[in-house]
Amino acid sequence: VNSLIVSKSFDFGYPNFEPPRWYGLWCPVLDCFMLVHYDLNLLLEIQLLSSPKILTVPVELDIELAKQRTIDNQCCVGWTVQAPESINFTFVYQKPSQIWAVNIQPGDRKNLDEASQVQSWFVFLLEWANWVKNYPPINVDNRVKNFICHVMDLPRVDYKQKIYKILLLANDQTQAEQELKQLLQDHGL
Amino acid sequence: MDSKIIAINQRFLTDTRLPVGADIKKDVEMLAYFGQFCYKDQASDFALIPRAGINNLPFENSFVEILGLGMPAPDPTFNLTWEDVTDARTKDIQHLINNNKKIYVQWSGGIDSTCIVVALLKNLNRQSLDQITICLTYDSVMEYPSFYKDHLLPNFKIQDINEHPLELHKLQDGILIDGHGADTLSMSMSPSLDVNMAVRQGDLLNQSWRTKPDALIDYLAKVTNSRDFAIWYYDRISESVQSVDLEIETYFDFMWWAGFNYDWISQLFSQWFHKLRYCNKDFQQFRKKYFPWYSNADYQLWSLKNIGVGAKHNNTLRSFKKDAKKYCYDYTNDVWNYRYQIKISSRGRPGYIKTGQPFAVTDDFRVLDLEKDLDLILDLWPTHLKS
Repeated sequence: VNSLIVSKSFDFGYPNFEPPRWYGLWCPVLDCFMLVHYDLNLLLEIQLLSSPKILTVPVELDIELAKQRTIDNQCCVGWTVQAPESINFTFVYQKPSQIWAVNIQPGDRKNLDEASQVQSWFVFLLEWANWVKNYPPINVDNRVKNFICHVMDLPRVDYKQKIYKILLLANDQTQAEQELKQLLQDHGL
Repeated sequence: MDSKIIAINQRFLTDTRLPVGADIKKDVEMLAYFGQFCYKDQASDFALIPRAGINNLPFENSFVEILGLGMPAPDPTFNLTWEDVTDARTKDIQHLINNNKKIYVQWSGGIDSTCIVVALLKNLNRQSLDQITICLTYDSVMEYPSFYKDHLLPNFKIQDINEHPLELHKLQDGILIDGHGADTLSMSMSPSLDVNMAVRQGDLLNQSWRTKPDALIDYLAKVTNSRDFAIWYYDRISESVQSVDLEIETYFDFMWWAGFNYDWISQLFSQWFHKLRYCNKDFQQFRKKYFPWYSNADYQLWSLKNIGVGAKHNNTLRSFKKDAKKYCYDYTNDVWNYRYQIKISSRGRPGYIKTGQPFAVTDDFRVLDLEKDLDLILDLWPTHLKS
């Protein structure tokens, strides 16, 4: 049996028993959170997609706040980090792997309307990043087609590339929605 | 042995092998601390050298004369706006193009280099634009993809300098343009100071450093994690401000002056030092092929004129570099960029070479490494740095 364990990446097949972790995207310009999520990779993709429009910094939050339902994507623009000076956000692109652990506090409400408008773009990005992540759904008929076309480099549509390009370049949500709708229509999705 | 050390990397001044005089030890420690605080793991910078007023750091000023990068005298009658100065700068480029020069613009996707490109698009005709190549990397495109798609691709030749490095020394008529110096025109020498203050304590930016020094020192101590440094910095910069005839009153202008006066030289020197010294050209030869866009008298006079509350910013993080952003917005109509783009360190520092531990530059523009050239460094060690 031991001969099967050939590398550190050997997968024993157990589910993940690690304690869950929780993250947020903090926006220095508006001094509030734009999104919170358990999936760091998803947040990092959204950080990239939104970065030409507005800077955000990935931070780690106390998981207890999630358990207590203190902050979520409905109210996170009303919260901010306790000590912004501890986050060296001007160098965030120089150290992309750095995730600061932060405490939170209620934010200044004077920017709340504007922050909520900007956050709607982030929620929109989250919706589509989730769509891309879960495409194709596990039970759809074309699962085999998608798999073999991808692996064997047969002609296929790279939806992730097309969707992310629209999201990266769109001026606003209305424009993005129209282009995404057209894309899905053109491909019968 | 006629050559002489004219500049020293402040970050390594605390090396115990160096014969640093006891009387300047404190300054040396603080400068090394500041270099590491400001630039973290970035390419290290050269010693801060004042261009005007009192020279209250342990370095001689000959570097300023040798490089010819002095500060123009403030002109009370100067009344050009950022837009005026930027539009006028394109005449210099037109002149170069008329003299058959090929222009290479280093674009990072940030505010400063985008402002340069917008100025060219706005002021030059098609025939002139055809003589311009935009040098970029994928990091630049990531920083501002819509500008790349809508304004660069249709209008310029593009050179990805990760794939095809810019070998300026091989281009007989090539001229490199970049945005070095822009930060010191409109912000502080350390973005971590004024930028951090603007996140939640923007009102502090407009307080008087003369009548309310305590909050400034407290803030500096908190951000740098050193009260010792905060007091040293406050003392040095306030001495400098008081030695010149300028109405520098606010915390922001205090920090701006620190950069504009002390850091300008290293900003303008860094392109040669970190990259292009490998092209076997000394700094003066290199300068004939290098056109730092923001390094002219008009931009500096603009900076000297726009002092006071509301002149360079409006208290908020997003209002830093507001004039450059407005200039770009008037051309692109990009609302996101205008409202939310802020000064950060760009992703791509294109083409930078890891330089090991470069320590000193001699007056014949040799670069000395602390490890490899220690004996020579000790031989040439400037007497004013000894006790």
